[in-house]
Amino acid sequence: MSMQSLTITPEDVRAAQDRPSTQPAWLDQIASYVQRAAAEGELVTLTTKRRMLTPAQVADRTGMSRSTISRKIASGELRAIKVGNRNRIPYEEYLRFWKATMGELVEVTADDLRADLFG
Amino acid sequence: MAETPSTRVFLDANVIAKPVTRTLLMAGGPLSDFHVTWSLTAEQEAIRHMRPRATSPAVIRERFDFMLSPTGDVAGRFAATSESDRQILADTEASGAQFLITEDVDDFAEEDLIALGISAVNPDLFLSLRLTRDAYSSVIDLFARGQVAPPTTPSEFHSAIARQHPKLFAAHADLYDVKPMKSPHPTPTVLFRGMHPVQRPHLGK
Repeated sequence: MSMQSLTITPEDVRAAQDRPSTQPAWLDQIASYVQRAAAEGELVTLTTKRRMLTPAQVADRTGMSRSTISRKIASGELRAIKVGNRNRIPYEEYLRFWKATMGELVEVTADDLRADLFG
Repeated sequence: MAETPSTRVFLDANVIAKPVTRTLLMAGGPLSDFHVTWSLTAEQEAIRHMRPRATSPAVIRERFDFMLSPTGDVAGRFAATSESDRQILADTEASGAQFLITEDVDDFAEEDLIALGISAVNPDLFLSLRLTRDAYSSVIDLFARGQVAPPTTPSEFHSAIARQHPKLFAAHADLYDVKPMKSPHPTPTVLFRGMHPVQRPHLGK
């Protein structure tokens, strides 16, 4: 089988939930994957795993520098776990950190937001 | 298995200058698998067009340690786009973004966008197609929590967002039982130019 694995992210599932009237694309992908495997007499095993990001991936997704992310990990502002000798950030921790950061940003710009929306 | 990179989007000055649009994109992006960036040129132009007492995007960027994207090379390029917009196009390319979010999609020539593999998209259209329901709801909640004087409910924010973002409101109209505030602005005639479709691709591989 040419495609050895299929990854479905929480975003794939959530994006489909926004359009409940249509068949979710991720379900189509799974069906197609299983059908192809069956046609070739292969087994399919579904597994889940804890989603982890590297500090570089967190930097890319937040628009912050690698050194800023390293500093935030060192200060405990962003919690990382060690995998071997490398830092990995659980996806849910990345989301918590981002929401906290954006909460602070919204507080700082509260007057601007009000003026823009209601002014 | 490797994590698929999040989609990068570049914000034009006219988007950075609007606090609500900018915040919806900045805060909601990483919750919807995209993230924003902008360049020094875009930031400086935005500052020139903002309300006098508005918080500068430079202050926000420095306070939260957000990085500027690199300045692109414009020399002798993008002849089909007007001279004043060429730097933004070059900066979008240099940032590695797939999308240029701008209120003035028609300022950017289709042939230049296609040559770069970039799509120019109106912010309301982009948000309506890419901001997930969870992300939109989270940002509305952040707005409501941050607004204490006077207190404003999430449904009031949702209704008011329709003034600037009628398509975004419509995409999540049933989130709160509230009617949209009327938009005082006419809808731009050109909302999209380029090759990349705005809707989220399937990420499975």
